[in-house]
Amino acid sequence: MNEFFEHIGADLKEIGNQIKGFFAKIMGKQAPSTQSGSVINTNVKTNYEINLVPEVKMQMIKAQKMRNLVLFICIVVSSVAVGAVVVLFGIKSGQDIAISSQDKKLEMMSEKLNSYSELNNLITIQGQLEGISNIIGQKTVLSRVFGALGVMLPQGADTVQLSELSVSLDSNTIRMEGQADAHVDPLIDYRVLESFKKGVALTKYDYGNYVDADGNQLPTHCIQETDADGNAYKSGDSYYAWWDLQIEGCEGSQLGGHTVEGAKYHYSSTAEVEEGIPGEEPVMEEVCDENGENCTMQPVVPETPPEGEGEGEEAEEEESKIVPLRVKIWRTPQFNTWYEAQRMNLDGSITNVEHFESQCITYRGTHGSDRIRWTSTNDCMLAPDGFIVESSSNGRDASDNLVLKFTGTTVLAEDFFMFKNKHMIAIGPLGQNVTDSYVQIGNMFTKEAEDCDPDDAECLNNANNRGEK
Amino acid sequence: MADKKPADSKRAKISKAQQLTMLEVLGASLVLGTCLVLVNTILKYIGFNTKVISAKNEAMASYDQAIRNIGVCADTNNDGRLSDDELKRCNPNAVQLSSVPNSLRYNIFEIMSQNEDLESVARKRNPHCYDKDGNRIDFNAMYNMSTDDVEREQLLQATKICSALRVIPDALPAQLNTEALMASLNQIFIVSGWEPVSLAPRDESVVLDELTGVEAIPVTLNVNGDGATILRVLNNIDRSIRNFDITSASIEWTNSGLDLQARANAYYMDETWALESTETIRAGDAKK
Repeated sequence: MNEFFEHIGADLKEIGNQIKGFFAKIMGKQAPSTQSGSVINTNVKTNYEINLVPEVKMQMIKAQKMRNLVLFICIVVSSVAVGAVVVLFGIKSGQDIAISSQDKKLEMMSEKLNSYSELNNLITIQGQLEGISNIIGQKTVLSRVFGALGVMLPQGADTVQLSELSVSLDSNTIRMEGQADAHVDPLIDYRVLESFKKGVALTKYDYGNYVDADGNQLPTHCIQETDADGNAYKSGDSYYAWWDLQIEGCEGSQLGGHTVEGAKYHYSSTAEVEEGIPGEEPVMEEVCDENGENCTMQPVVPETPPEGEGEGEEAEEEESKIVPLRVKIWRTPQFNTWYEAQRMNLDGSITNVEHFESQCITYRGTHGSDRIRWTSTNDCMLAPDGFIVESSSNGRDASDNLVLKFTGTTVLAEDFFMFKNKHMIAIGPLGQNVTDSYVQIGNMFTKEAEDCDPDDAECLNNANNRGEK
Repeated sequence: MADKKPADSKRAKISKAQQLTMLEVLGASLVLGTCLVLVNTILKYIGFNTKVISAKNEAMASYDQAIRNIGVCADTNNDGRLSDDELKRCNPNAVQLSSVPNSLRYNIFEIMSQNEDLESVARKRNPHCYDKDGNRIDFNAMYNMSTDDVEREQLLQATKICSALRVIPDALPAQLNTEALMASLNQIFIVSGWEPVSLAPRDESVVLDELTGVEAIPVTLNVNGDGATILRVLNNIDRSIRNFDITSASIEWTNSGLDLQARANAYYMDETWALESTETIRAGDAKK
C-alpha cells in the first residue's frame, strides 16, 4: 500500500515536471530534469539513427505518461464534480433557510389577518354592496307599464279598455285582453283597434338625467317631475321639473353667486328660482296655458308690499329667512332663448344651464330664412314590432253596448323597464307623454265584455266590420 | 529463483502503471458518478424549492395586499409593503381608522357609514343614536379616541347600528330569512294603505345566472284594490330598500276593483368568510 502511494506521489511530481517542461518549451527555456535526471531524447538527427533506448523502456515510459495523464484528468474531473456538488448544496441550504423565513412571516401574516374580529363582516359587506349593485343593474320597474299604456290607449271618443293585462318582465312581453269601442255607429269598429295598433307602433320613450349648470348629474331624489296629483309639469308644449334644494344632498347655489354651505351643485344666473321659508308650505294656485288647458298647480309668488307696509324688524327678520327652495329645470330645451344666450349650439349641445340630458332625443338647429329652425329626433321606439292582434270578436260590455273584444301582444323595449334608466317617459304618437309617476290606471280597466248571445242578432250580425282584423 | 532481467522490472512497472491507470479511472468514475447523482438530486431539490419560494412569495404578496387593502395593519412608512417590524407592532383590533386610509375598513366604517343617502335611514330608527340633547352621537370619533379594546368593540357595534351600515343588510340580507322577508312585504302593503289578501313564498328554486353569489327567494303576492292602491303598492315595492324584483304580473278587472297577481324575487347573499386556501406545490409538471 505504501508503495502505491509512493508511486502516486512520484507520478504527481512527474506530472508537475512535465507541465513545467511543456511551458518551458513554449517559453524557449530548458526543461527541468525528469525522473531519470535528464531529458530523454530518443531521436538524434545525424547521418545515422541509433535507438539506444530499449523497446520495453519505451513502453514503460509511455505507460507511465498515460497513467499520469489519466490521473490528472481524474483529479480535475473529480474536483469539478465535487465542487459542483458543494456549490449546489450551498444553494439548496440557502433556499431552505429562505423557506423557513418565509414560513415564519406567512404564519405571522395569517395570524394578524385572522385575529381581526371584523374581517368577515367587512368582506360580507363588500360582497353585499357588489350584489346590490348587480341587482340594481338588472332591476325592472313594473309600474312603468302603466305609463306606456297611458299613451298607447286612445283617449277621447274612441276608447280601448283592458279586462286583463299580463306582463312578463323576463321577455318584456305584454298580453292584453280588452275591448275597443267607437261609441258611435258603427258601434263595433275595427278602426279603433287599427288606430290603437298604429298608435302602439309609433309610441316612443325617453329617459336620461337632469344635470346642473356645470353638467353634474343631479340625484334622482332631488327632482320632482309631477305635481301632487301626478300631473307632469308643463308650460305650453315644454315639460319641466323642479330641483328641490332643501333635500339633503341636493343643495345648490347660483353659479358665480354666494356659496351655500354643503352645496355641491350650481344653477345658472338666469334660472327660475322659487324662494320661500324652508318648512313652510307654499301657497299654490292653478295655472293654465293660453287656451285654458294643461293646468298645473304652481306656487303663488308673493307680491311686493306697498311702500310703508311690512317694514320694520319683523319684516326684515322674515325676509332673512327666505332662501331659494327649488329651481326649475326644463326637460324640453328652450331652444332660441338658450341659443341666443350661447348656451345651446346648433348641434344640440347645451352648456352653462341646468337641463335634461336625454339618452334618446337629439336636437339640431339649422339656419332658416329669418330664424333658427330646430328639429328633434327620437330613435327609441317603445314597441318596435307593434301590437299583434291574436283574436277579435263582437261582444257586449257591462253597459250592454256593442264592443269589439280583442286579445293581442306587444314586446316593449328592454330599456324601458330598467330601473337604472331614470326619468323615463313614454311618448305617444301625438307627442303626449306620461312620466313614471303620472298614471291613473282606474280608467284603463273594465269588466270583460260578454260574447254575443246566440239569439243576439244585433251583436252577431253587426256586419260593418266583418272580415277585417 | 533466477535473477531478474532489466526488461522484467520494466514490464512489471508497465503492468503496475496500467493497473494504476485502471484504478484511477475507476476511482474517478466512482466520484463522478456519485457527484452526478448528487447533482441531479440537489438540482431537483433546488428546482422544487424555487417553486415553493416563488409560491410563498406570491402568498406573502397576497397576504400583504389583503392586510393593507382591508386595513388590518397600517403601512406606517408608506413604502407599499408591510415589514416584519410593522407586522410585529400591529394590533389589528386597535388600528386607528385614519392610519389605514382608502382601505376597506376605512371606506366602510369612515366613509360609507356616513353616506348621506343611507345614514339617516338607520339613525332615525334608533333613539340610542342620539344624546340626551337630541344631538347625533359621533361613534366614529369616540372609537378613534378610545384606548380600551372592550370599549372599542362596543363603539364599533354602535357605529354599525347608527350608520348606513345598518341599511346594507336590509337591502341584501346575509341569510335566508323568509319570515323577515314577509314582514318587509307586509310593511310595504301597510304603508301603501292596503291589507294583503295573500302573501307567500313560492316553493320553487330560482337560478340567477347573471348574479354571482346572490340567491333568490321567490314570492307570490296578490293585491286587490282600486287602481290607486295597486299603483301605490307597486311604487312602494319599487322604492323599498330591500329589492323586490317583479318578474311577471297579471292585472285583472274584478267587481271589487283590480286584482294584481305578481311573481317576484327577493334576494339574499350568504355571509362571506375570509378563507385561507392551501396550495400544494408539486415537483413534477403533471397535476395529480
